[in-house]
Amino acid sequence: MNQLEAHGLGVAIGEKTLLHPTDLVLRSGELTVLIGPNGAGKSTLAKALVGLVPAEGQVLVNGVRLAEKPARDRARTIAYLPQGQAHSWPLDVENVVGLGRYPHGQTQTDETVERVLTDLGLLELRHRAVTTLSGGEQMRVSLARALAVDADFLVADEPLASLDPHHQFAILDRLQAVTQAEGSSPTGILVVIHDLRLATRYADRIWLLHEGRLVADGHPEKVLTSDHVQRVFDVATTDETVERGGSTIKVALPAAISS
Amino acid sequence: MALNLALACLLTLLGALSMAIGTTSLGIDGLIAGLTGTDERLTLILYEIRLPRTLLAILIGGSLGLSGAALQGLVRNPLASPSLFGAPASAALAAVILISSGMAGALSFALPVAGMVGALLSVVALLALAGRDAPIIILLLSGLVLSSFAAAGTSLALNLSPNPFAALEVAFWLLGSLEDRSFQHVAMAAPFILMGSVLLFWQASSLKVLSLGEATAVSLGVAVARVRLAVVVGVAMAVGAGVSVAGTIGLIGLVAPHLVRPLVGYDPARLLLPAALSGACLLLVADLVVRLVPTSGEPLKVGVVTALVGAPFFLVLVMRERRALALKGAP
Repeated sequence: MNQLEAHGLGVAIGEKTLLHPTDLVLRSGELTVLIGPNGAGKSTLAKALVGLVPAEGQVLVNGVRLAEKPARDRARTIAYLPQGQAHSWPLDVENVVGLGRYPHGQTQTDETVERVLTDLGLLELRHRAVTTLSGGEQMRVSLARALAVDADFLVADEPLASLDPHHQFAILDRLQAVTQAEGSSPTGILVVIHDLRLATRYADRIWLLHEGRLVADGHPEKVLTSDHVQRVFDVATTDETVERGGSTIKVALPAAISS
Repeated sequence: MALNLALACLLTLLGALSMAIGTTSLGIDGLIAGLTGTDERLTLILYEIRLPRTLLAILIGGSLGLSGAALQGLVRNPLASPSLFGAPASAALAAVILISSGMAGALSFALPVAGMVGALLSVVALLALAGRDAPIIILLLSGLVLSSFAAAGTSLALNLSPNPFAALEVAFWLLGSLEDRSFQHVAMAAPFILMGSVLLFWQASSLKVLSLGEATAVSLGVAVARVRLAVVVGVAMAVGAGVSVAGTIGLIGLVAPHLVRPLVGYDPARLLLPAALSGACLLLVADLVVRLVPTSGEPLKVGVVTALVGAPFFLVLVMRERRALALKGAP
């Protein structure tokens, strides 16, 4: 059972603290959703977990410090999808997804690339230049590239941005399936999203971030209380029943701007 | 693969033409007679005059094409090239200072070393000025600043030169030429050009991953800082050494990668070899033009030809970027 732990993970730029020292555990077999208002430090936390920004504290994977692993080893441990992934050249979709195999020593199309292209419904687009695709299609290509890494963990920063509702469900279904399937990876996934209803429906665990501090960490029912949501997002809420894996749960969801 | 083969054939053909054409133009039988040593006069022309010139054209053109492709991959923009970043101008400045101060003759090994140091300083200064992940406009403006500064320095060196003949010689050398180069020039430049090229080819797969941006590349295990350093040093070695033996030859680094990029599916890794081969072809063609265009006095300089052809080409690229930006709705 893989486990990624952050101990006292904090990020500061000069005098400004972006993320206060935080303890976290990203578990395999779980889809964790990171929520918080704009500027709460979500992207900073995502980058700090992957080791892309200088941070205090440490990140351990199965007890080994991530920062001490060789670069490609680290890349095979935790994959990252940045917010608004850019594509500098009009490479083929297949080629872009193949870049996810770089940590494994090559960037050719192999079984893994074929698998993620199939899983994300990209087979028809495989020979198209990525820059000619729509925003939503590009997002799916980027996610496919991140999944092709086949890492133990995946951190995806707003992978649902610019996706229509159908594809939002499709992507979250896919990610949920990946965390639950035996023997497939990544097994532990962290996604940053803004839609609290989707978070309720899919998250095994929610991290609620506010002004660089982790306010709550747990099951959606425990995190999305009217107190939390009203205070953190500065909105009025209504209690709603959300369907979730065959049963329903009650959470507080934003209803209007707070008066 | 087929593309590289085709370019290699074209290069061989142009190389043969470069051996055959000149003040004394040779047919196939003349070439064979000269190369096999049956005609001593032709042998002298081929081995002492045309072969070094041809080899230098291939080495320098190839390294310029390769450097352009690598730099474009590094900064992820098709408008990047060594000349726009002021590397050749800075290499020339270093070499001119060395020559005009009388510290080194035009055949000294100090020359390519000075050229490389000049080019290296300019690329390091450029990256420092523009910072990481700089928008291309900042890179181009910084390159302009460095080029202008290097040109001013070169003018100053000429201005203060104690010997007007030396100044004239330096001025001509600056125009960029492959004329009257010997095997000694080849021996001076080749090792550095080859070492720089190896360093650049080595970065191929990293450059491909970099097309996803620096953060993603780092997350995939690319040592981005090391790649940046390797490209900077590789370009400085290749361009600096080339400039020190042939003067400044502009814009091949911009044009060559552009011509072949669509043929390799815009893959920055697969681009490197074809860009080098087409760069070599381009410089051979330019050097043939120099020999074939009649002039009343001094023969044309190859650096003048590449600049004359390259500048309008750059303009076309800029116009195309402008259209692309307009399509995206950017200001």
